[in-house]
Amino acid sequence: MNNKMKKPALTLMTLSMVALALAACGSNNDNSASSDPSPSASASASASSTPAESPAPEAGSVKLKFYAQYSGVEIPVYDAAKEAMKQIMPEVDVEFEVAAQDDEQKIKTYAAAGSLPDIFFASSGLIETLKKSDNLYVMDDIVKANNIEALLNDSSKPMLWNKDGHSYSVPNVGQWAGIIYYNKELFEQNGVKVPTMYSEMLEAVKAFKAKDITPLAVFAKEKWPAALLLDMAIVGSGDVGGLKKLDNGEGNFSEDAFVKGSQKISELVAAGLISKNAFNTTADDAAAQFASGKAAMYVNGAWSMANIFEKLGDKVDIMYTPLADTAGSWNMSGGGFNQGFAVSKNSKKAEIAAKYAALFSIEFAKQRVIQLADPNSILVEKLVPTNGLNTIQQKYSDDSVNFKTMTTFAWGYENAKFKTFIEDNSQKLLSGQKTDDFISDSNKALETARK
Amino acid sequence: MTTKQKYNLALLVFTVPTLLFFSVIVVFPILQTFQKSFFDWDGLTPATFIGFDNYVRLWGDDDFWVSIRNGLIFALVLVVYQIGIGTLLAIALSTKSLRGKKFFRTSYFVPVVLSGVVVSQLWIAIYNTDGGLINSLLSLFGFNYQQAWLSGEHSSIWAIAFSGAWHHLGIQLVLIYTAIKSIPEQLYEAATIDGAPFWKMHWKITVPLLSEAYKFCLIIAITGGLNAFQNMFVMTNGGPGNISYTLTFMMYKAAFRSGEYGYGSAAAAVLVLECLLFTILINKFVAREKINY
Repeated sequence: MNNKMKKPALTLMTLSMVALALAACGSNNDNSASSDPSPSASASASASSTPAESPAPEAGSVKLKFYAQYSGVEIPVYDAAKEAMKQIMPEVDVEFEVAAQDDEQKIKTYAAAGSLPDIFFASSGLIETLKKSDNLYVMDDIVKANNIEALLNDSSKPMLWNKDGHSYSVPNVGQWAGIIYYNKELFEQNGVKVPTMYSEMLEAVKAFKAKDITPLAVFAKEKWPAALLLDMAIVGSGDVGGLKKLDNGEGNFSEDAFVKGSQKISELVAAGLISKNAFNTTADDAAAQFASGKAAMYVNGAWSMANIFEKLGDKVDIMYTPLADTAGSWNMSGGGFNQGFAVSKNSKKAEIAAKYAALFSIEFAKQRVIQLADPNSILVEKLVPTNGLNTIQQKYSDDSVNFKTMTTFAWGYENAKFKTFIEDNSQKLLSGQKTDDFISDSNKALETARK
Repeated sequence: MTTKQKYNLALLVFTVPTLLFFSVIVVFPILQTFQKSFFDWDGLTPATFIGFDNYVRLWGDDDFWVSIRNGLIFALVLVVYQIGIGTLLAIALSTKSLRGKKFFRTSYFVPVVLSGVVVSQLWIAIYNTDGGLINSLLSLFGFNYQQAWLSGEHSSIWAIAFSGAWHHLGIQLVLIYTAIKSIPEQLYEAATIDGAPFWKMHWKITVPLLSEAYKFCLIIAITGGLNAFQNMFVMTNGGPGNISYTLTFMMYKAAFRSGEYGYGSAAAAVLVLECLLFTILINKFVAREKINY
């Protein structure tokens, strides 16, 4: 081939390649469009053809990443909910990524890097953070279109809505209370009255300490149990808002209930409430200490009832407000607010992910009742647990209708600075810090947190 | 190309990639940290310039002073244990008459190869208030001194620092031991002929001749102490409260728990300056003259 022929031949070849490439791209686009089961695509398809002709979305054709606490007793719950969702949205296939127990660092890093998973569990605090940075998909339309609110019982409906009036996640579990478990046998053997109010609690602590039995097993290596105990003492001293009230920007630590609550904790600690080793004790260690009879009481959320009953059987019972001034108070500590499965605004399939997340939450709540005997279902539908409710779950289920107010656990605080300092400071109080120092330090930190 | 040009080219070929690599992974992040320390930033939303406010806040923050004090205590424990005890052990290991040297050398180095988490868990068990090794031994020997080693306001940082010192003793030991082995034998022979006692001989010959090795060991120990994080993260999570905080832990808390990346960056910037200050001081006052045998 001479030089004169080379140039047109090369031009022709280049043009042919470009044409082929364009044709290939076009063909790919067609394929992707046909496999895209997005509602808009489905809607236009159904508009132009009869239902019989419209091809059903291919099962598992939409892949979603789901960041969740897929571990421990909740694995079968997630698996069952995923299985149920195959009937409702067969086109979706989710891949679980196990959430790290890392103060939400990983999920925040995902957000900072712009690579949030399609669906993820978000606490109230995380919702506030991701809301500010415009990372959350607003689920209002999905919630309304799928009539989610009608599926929730009255006490759970508020959990669906953020304080700004929008929905960013559909709740997946009910509001647990923080409770104190106690070993009935140890109380009977040592002739100690089961406390129903603070003065009796103090007596019980002194009595067990005198017998060389740890009064309360607490896994204070984690920071939130110390905050929960302080919250219980504040709520029990007359301020039903507890620490949540301060998180909301109201009040300060110099108010009567806060001073009195702090004094109660100091007094209990001085009487020997916790083991000196409590700050190096993990949740498993504390549960083992309680189960083995080395500790008379154990503080945790109501969600651990199944686990504790399994270890102690009929020896265990629960008390709600032993740090209250008077007996019979139903103002509770613990709980939670708008939190559950949320969706990334930047998800390529955000609308499908939101629908899946909303419906998955309902299936998850169902399976929590069926498999783990949740005594505080969020659903209107009455479900029967496979193994029935154990004694303490039944008690909690019966009593929970009496709960008047509820605060929140530490992960429900919306002000991250407040959460951090209150966890540290309440741990210090539990380790024996003087009440005056605690009040003054906490007021100073509160001022900084509110700036 | 002249010889000088060839030399310069070779110099560029060998140094530029390394300098670029170092700049990208070390210098740039440090500069970026300094820059971020002047902002109010939660890591997700746009940052707001606030000048020196983060540094002013640090000055009035109780956590900051606790962190500085704990970092210095940690560094002190590393220096005393790793360099002090390390020197004694290295001298003992270099003594000809000692039997089983290989066994001891290996034994002292074993903790270094263990992960920090494993070592921390081991020491949590040793420090355990109820039935831990230390309290049990005290009780066994009749001392009524049962302590909550990791929860005590005054004992916690010392206990954690000791576990860190124990963990990395082997590295310093190897450095000092190697430096001792490089001291000419005839110096000891001369001292022996002059009738110098064993300890006096090492005090007058070994220790002064180790000054260059000590310079390096001191920098490792002090910056390691000021930077300490892993031990307290696993053993106490910084608590109870803030009693076992260090600047690194404070930085972690501010950035990842409170969502205050600007404030965390200010803590990190102070840490960098602190380490730099100690490195300069050590370089200025330790082994100023090169030793020639």
